[in-house]
Amino acid sequence: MPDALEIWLRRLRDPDPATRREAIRQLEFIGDPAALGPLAQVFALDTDLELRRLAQAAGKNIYRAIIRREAQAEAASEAERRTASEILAKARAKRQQRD
Amino acid sequence: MLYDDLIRRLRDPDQWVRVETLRILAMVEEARALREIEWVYKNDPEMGVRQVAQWAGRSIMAAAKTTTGSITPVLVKQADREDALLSSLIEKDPRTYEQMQAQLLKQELLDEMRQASAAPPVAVRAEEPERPAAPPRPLDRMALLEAGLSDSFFEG
Repeated sequence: MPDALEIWLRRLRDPDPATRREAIRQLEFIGDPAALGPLAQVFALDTDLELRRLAQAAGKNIYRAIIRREAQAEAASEAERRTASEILAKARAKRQQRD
Repeated sequence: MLYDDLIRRLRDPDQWVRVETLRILAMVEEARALREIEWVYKNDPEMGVRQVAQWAGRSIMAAAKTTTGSITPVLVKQADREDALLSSLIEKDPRTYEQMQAQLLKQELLDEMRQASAAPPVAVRAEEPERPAAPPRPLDRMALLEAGLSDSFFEG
């Protein structure tokens, strides 16, 4: 029996724009990275401009959510902290010069 | 890592995988991938893939110019960016950290460019030998990114 992801991915190719619209919304809700490719195809090729925009927004939200989760699992390295400190010090010095 | 996977897929032997990946990168406006996309545009054996790479590169560049204001002045206040950088470090958010770092470096470059354009021309006395041209200044990451991409990659 096909799962929800599979069903909505199939409906993304439905001739009816309303069905494709609902599929985009559902795929965004599911948030599976497997939907990125099919959404990107809608974004690049769908005849309905509004659906292309919706697909892009959904794809971006899925992608950002994944990147955010990945980022939360990582800590800033010592080198990154050092670089950030240097940049901040330079930026503050420049601001003080201006003020 | 999703981003790393996408970059790897740009070298996949299957051209449809490469095309799909380029479309994903364009859809999510992933500016970090511009160099790799340019590589595909210049080196992919399939003309269709190269065309998609060009489209993807242009899409991302257009989005980056709109959102980061590389044409218009940066709108975000310096202090706000520094606060965000600090916060991102505290919260251990490397993506925000990278974005803030790029913004700060870019602002530095803009400041230097403004100072250079505002500085009066240096008068050279007749008896002094002409000085050799100074070596080019190091550019920040955003400038390097933009400078490294060929004209044909940008032009629509």
